[in-house]
Amino acid sequence: MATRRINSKRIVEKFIIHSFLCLVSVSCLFPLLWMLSTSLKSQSEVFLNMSLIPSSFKWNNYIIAWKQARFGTYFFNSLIYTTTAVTGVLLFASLAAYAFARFQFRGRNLLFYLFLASMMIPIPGAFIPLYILLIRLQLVDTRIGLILPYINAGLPLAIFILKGFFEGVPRDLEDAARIDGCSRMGIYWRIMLPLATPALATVAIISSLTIWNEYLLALIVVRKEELLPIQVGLWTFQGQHITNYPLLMAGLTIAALPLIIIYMIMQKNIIKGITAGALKA
Amino acid sequence: MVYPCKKWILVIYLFIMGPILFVGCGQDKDKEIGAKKKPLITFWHWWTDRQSILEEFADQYEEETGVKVKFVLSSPSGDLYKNKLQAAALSSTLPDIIGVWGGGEFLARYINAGHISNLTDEMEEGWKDRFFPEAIKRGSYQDGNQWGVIPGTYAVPLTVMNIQIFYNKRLFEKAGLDPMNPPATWEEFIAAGRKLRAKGIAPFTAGFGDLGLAEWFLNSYAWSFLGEDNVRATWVGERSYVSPEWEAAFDKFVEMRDNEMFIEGIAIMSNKQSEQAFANGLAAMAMNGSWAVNVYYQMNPDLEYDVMSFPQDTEAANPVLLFGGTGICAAVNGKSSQKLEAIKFLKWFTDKERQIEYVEKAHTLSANRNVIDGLSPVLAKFAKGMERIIPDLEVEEKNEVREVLRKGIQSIIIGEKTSIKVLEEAQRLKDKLE
Amino acid sequence: MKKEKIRYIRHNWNSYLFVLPALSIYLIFGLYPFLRTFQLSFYRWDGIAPDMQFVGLKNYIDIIFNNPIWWTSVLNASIVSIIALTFQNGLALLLAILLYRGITNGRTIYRVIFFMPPMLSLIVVGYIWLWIYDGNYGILNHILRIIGLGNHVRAWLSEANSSLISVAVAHCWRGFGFAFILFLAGLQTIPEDLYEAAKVDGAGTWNQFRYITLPLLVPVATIVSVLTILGTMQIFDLIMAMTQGGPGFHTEVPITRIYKEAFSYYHFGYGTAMAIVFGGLLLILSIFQMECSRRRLRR
Repeated sequence: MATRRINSKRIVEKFIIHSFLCLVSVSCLFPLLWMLSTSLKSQSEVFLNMSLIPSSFKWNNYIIAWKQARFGTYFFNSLIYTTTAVTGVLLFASLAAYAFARFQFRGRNLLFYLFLASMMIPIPGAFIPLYILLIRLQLVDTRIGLILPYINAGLPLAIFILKGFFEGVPRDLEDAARIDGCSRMGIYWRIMLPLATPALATVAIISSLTIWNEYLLALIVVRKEELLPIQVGLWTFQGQHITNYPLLMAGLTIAALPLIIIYMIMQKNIIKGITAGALKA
Repeated sequence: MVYPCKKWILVIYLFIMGPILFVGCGQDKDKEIGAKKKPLITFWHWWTDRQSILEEFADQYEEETGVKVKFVLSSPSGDLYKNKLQAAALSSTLPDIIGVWGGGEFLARYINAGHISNLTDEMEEGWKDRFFPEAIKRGSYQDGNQWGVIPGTYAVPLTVMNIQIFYNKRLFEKAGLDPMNPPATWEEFIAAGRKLRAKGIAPFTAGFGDLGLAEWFLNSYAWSFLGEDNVRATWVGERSYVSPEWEAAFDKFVEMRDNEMFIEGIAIMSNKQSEQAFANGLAAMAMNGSWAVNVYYQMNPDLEYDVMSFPQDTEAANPVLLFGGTGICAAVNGKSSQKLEAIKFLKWFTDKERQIEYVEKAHTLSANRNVIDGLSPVLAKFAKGMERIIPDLEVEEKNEVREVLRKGIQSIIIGEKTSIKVLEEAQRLKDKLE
Repeated sequence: MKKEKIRYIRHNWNSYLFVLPALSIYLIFGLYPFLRTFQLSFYRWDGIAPDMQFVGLKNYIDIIFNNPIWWTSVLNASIVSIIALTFQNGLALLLAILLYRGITNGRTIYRVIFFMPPMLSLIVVGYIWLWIYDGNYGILNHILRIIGLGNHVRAWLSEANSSLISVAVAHCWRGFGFAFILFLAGLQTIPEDLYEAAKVDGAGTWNQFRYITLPLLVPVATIVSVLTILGTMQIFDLIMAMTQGGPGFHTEVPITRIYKEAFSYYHFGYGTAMAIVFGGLLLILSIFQMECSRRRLRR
């Protein structure tokens, strides 16, 4: 009798939790559905038929959007920029964050706050000296000339997050490793990085999101059309006065797809528990 | 164990930094080769929906003359385009032809820094005769202008525009109004609004959130109540904003608000939202520019509408004029080595023959005044409107003061401030800035 | 012990090697452009002219003492920040904990769904929220009418007392996904055996949350709240998509002011000085926040 009461109480509890989660989910999914449904409508239908189900499904929009926005080129570019820059951010930020979290050295706090400060000062037109610098370094219209500023832009946030997580890792694991004769680099690579998998995954998600969606810097820095990122292709559908919503939404859906895939892969790593990693070490 | 790791970091470090340091040396060879090729004129713009049309003209020009013109869509919006131009100007990498907005402070800065060619001589040789005179004036600077620009014409007008009021014929009929005789006086305008509201139709929409439109509405009536000289006197600081005439102009918004003329949420509505509302029949009248003809066609091809001028207030001393001027212009890079080629192309492009074709494809008003045949009735009304636009005063109110006026209009619409309060605020700021 | 310490100091210099790759990229592509623009804040410059006028601290003094609109915009952003700190982060924490300890089924699906808003383009987000708040055919008004609150119907974004809050709600919706995954990652760092031990001691759900989850989440909560403040104080694109700072000055925020000064009024020096003042405020705020949580951790 007692166990049954607990069971039914648990079921009610679960039901309440799930309905709350579902409510939040609906609000998150609705814009997505709207985007998908609009991408299958015709231009005049967007404004006249408010229903989520298009009168006829225009799958062709996706093919037109892909061609018109020249995604063939831009998609590949963005893939390169995002993968290299995110790798760079993860590698350099985790090295620096480990040092900030664990080592004692002169100017540590100053350097850390220096990184932090660059997230806070929204200088208008900071792209101008950057552009002139890239011209001097002959990096304008090269991929590396875009990737390096992207890495720079992603570093502060990544260092900030990773430092916080490294500080939370118990010190005894490292001490044990040090006694075993492991170098700092070895500790970083074999202990800290595996332990910080959830944080690394989080940082990877956030930085890929920002870099994939970036176009302001690319716009200023890149003049060769064949080097432009994917967001630029989406302009085609947004005229000065007229926006072609179906094609724009089809383009946006295509552009969002890699992000969703990256997230789906990475989110598994967020929940790879630190304790599991600790046991292995 | 320690050493290999340190080396490892150094390797990564060199791997990243190496290219930067090495690429830095001597790569100017490409440019020399480029100069020997046949002339290539680069043309930057931000007119997203015109890129393919412009490319067709470029092909045609190359066929005729052998000179290649490359149109580069450098930015999706005007704001970003400004950033791009600025970065290019400061690094001396502006293209041969630059798409610009006509006149004012924006262009004056580029002219004063030597980036823009003075086209006066070319214009005086008969080039300017083909344009609407007002359009030429917008790209010119007179003697003693407030920015210290050497007098002359600097921008070639490509399109023109003006602002009028569109009205939905079906909704007018529904409210018992004659779609052939839209309101001509302010009283009729307000009365029409009441009738529409009584039928549950929002009478008036406009993109007052985009700010420019609110100010243009205001300017039409400021001109009507104050006249050119008094507006100029206010802007140069010789006459106060706190005056009955300015108050009368601002009270137009108060009257419209009190008679429930505005569509809900007009104070922050963007022009795009406003266009959607009008195209979907949610509002009977819409203040908008000549470009909207194409917009409404795209949004709702069956929309039956016509266009009317701003209603005249019978108590105002002067006729009500329309806000208008150049839509887009082209300027020639003053530092380009291909100035003459660039000018030659622009002359070719602004020719009547080409402009007729351009207007057909882009559904817009050409700055070439000879291109009026074959316009749709509504566009023809806009072309006629070019004769009644507010003249260019060659002075501009300070941007800060303009913002207070524009924002003040929003505050009036939501019932937060009175006309006189807005005017006092504007005058106070103006006094502070002087 | 002493020998250990000496070895530690001897190897001290290679601490810099860890920081060097990040630092060199930052120095070249971050700090150098920053310093070049920083000096502008002492000048009057229109953004194009080859010459600029030195004005000393005039820009700073004017911003701090003579620019009420600027401080209004800072206040507006602060209000949105407080809303985001409480509601957005509260929601994110609740969702993270529910997914971590509340349910066993469908975790992956929820995890994917809750991160959809940040992945959507601003174009979609702006369009949807404008539709929700619309005064004529908005969903919100529609719902209010259905549930009998028809007298609260309004054009949400264009009224003085509801515009800022409405924007804040949209901002929170767009941002809670970030806080959610950070909290989720943070929860993984709590060793499972602590909960086991608590269960053995007979601690209930609330007590487990109060004495294990919450204290151990302080480091992550600090990260989340600092990032929330930084992100929200610098809110910009959503404002431009929804209200453009209107009606009047009710939704003006620091970044809209900075951009207007620099790119509409062509006061680059003044705009840069604004950015420096603003950055200074944020830096002080976040250092203060981090120090607070560090103290709490020590206790």
